[in-house]
Amino acid sequence: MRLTHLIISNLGPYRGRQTIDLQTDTSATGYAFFADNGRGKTTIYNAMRWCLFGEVRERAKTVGGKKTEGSIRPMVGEGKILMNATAYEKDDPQEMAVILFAEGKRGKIMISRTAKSSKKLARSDDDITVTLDVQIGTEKILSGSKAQEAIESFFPRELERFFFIDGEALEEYTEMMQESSLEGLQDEVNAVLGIPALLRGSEDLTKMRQSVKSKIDKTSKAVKSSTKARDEVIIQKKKLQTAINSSDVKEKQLLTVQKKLEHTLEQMNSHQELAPLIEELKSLETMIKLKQANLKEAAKEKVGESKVAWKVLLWNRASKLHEKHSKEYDLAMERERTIRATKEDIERTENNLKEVSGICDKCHQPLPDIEAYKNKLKEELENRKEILSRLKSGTEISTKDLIIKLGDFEKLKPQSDANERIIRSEGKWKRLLNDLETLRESHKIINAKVSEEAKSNVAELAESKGRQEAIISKRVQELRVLREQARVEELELTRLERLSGTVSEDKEGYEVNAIISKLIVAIEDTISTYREKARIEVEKIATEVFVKLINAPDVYSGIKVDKDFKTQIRTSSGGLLRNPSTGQVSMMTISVIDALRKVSGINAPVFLDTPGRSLDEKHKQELLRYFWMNEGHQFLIFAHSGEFGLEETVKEFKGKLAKAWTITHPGDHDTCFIATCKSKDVTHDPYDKKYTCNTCGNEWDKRSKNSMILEVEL
Amino acid sequence: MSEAELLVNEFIMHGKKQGLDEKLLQKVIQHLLDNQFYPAGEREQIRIQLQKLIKNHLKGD
Repeated sequence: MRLTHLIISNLGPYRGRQTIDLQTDTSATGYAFFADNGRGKTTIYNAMRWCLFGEVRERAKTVGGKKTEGSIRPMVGEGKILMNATAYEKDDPQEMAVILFAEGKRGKIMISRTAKSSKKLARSDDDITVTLDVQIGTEKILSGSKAQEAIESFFPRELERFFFIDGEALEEYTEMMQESSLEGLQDEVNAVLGIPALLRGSEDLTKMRQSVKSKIDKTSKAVKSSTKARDEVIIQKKKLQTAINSSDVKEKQLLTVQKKLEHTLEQMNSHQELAPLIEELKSLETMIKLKQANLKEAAKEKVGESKVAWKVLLWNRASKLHEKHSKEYDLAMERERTIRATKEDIERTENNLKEVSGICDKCHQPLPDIEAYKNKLKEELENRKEILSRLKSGTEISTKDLIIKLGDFEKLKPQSDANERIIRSEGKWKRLLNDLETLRESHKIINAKVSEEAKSNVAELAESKGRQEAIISKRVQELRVLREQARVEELELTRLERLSGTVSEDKEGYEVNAIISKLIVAIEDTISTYREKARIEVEKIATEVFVKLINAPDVYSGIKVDKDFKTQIRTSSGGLLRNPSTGQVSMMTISVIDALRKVSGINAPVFLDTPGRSLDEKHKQELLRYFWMNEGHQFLIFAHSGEFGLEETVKEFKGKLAKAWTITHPGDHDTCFIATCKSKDVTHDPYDKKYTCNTCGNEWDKRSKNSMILEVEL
Repeated sequence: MSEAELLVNEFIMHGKKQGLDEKLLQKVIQHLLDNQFYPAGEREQIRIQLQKLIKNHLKGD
């Protein structure tokens, strides 16, 4: 992959859009960005990483060989954000973007990643929507996860470290390569060697084998079940046949009885003319029995009612005497009341007579003649005494005796409806007796019409009919049960036949399983031998690189890479270099990283951020000489002014350097920085801190921190 | 020779020792290399394709 353009918009110190054109007419592969600290070298380096992988992770920390993943730099919010500070604070919507154009084996490549606020004044990455579009060759534009997969198909994220190298990382690698444990770099080394393909492939195949085996076991189980079911089918067929036979036998028995019944009914038909008579006789017999029972009840009732008949007869005579005594009693009672009243009058008159005071006891007026009054009272008294005497003398029988007599009569008195009841029960009994006689007479007449033999025959046939019907009903029930049993057996047979169907062993499964097992063995064998061969290969390439970089073949013969990829410098005398200098170790590290990059087979630009940080002047020059030796890969360095001088580097590497840029703030310039102008005729306004080019009119603010990428004329 | 080529050659050599066909081995290792960076939790589809590859080989495709 060869990078042709990089467009950065609102990232880090870059406000607005900055386009870096990497196209060149030469075959040179060296690219250099020169800048003071804080101008945005690393921003370009990070812009590439963000565009490719969607995140910029801080360098992982390795302490004592143990790696701790670095945190992800936020796009917006607190801390070292990726978005340009002015865009973040002032723009609406807040937006940043990186677009990358390149050329690869599959044609032109375009990768565009944009981060845009999804709400006003986004304050965290949660408020940002990131879109990714990728186009490779003439294929359709991919978006989202498909686009990310497309990127990683030609630039795996796991190999990022071998293409994005900064000074800090170099020191880290150096430390790791000298550590007894290389855990921090192990994943990357494995990734370069393709070990994940083997390890994950082995896991995949093991899982596939489990799945295939499980399927084979299931099929095998089904085959066993099928065989068992086939045996059961034979047994079940016998059971079904037995059930059908039993049902047939029962059906035959039923038919036999049904025929017998038909015969009986035919015989009964031959006696058809007698049938009504016999039926009537039967009916009469039933009625006679019923009447007899009723008559018995009526007789009982009649006897019960007759028990009071003597009372009725006696009362016919006694009732007159009873009436006479009742009247006498009423008269006696009246006389007693009159006697009592007369006695009271006599007593009162006597009292009046004794107590005459000259005042009338009725009108309470003075009496005109007391004596006359007294005489009158005496006369009244005599009259009443006479009446009393007459009343007492007139009594023949006492009231008490009358009460006793009346009581005796009451005992003889029957209930008021006794007579009616006696008559009614008598009538009922007689009526029933008459009915019974009538029925008996009818029975006698009809009976005389039917012979005893005929009656016997008809009775016998009726009995047969009843018996046969009962047997038929029972056999129908039994036949139903047997047929149901046969149906159940048939269903079971169907089920077993289905189970015993065409299940065969999974031959393909066995073959797949065998291949998977062999592949697993092949992978295991490859893992055991390949790593060593790869180590030798890496050692060979690292040695080649180191020899070129160090450029002292008489002193150093190469690099030793042990089985854990721990590295040491070999001397020409065959030994290992003890106490190498920092520069030597850095060159060794670069050699190994470049060897690993080469063996990865990935063709992509290499980004070196502050590569000469820990190198002396000689090694820095050798480093550039090696990387810019035109092997086809692009090498981009981001150097600060203390590392590589612009003019010296351009002069030294003329022909190897394809393009170079400076990254500056406007305030870094006191002459016009427009490439086509470069005029020194500039007016400085110290009050507004502004510069104005008097030649082209370009104006710039000395205080502005918006970085500019300016191409250097080589 | 890149390491990928070395790895492929090594795998084919060991696979052949197991009596496996070179074409199948080539396809299998290429499939595994192409998908080597997919994490374990996202490899179901890769396994399905691998099994399909083996089955097709058995059918003579």
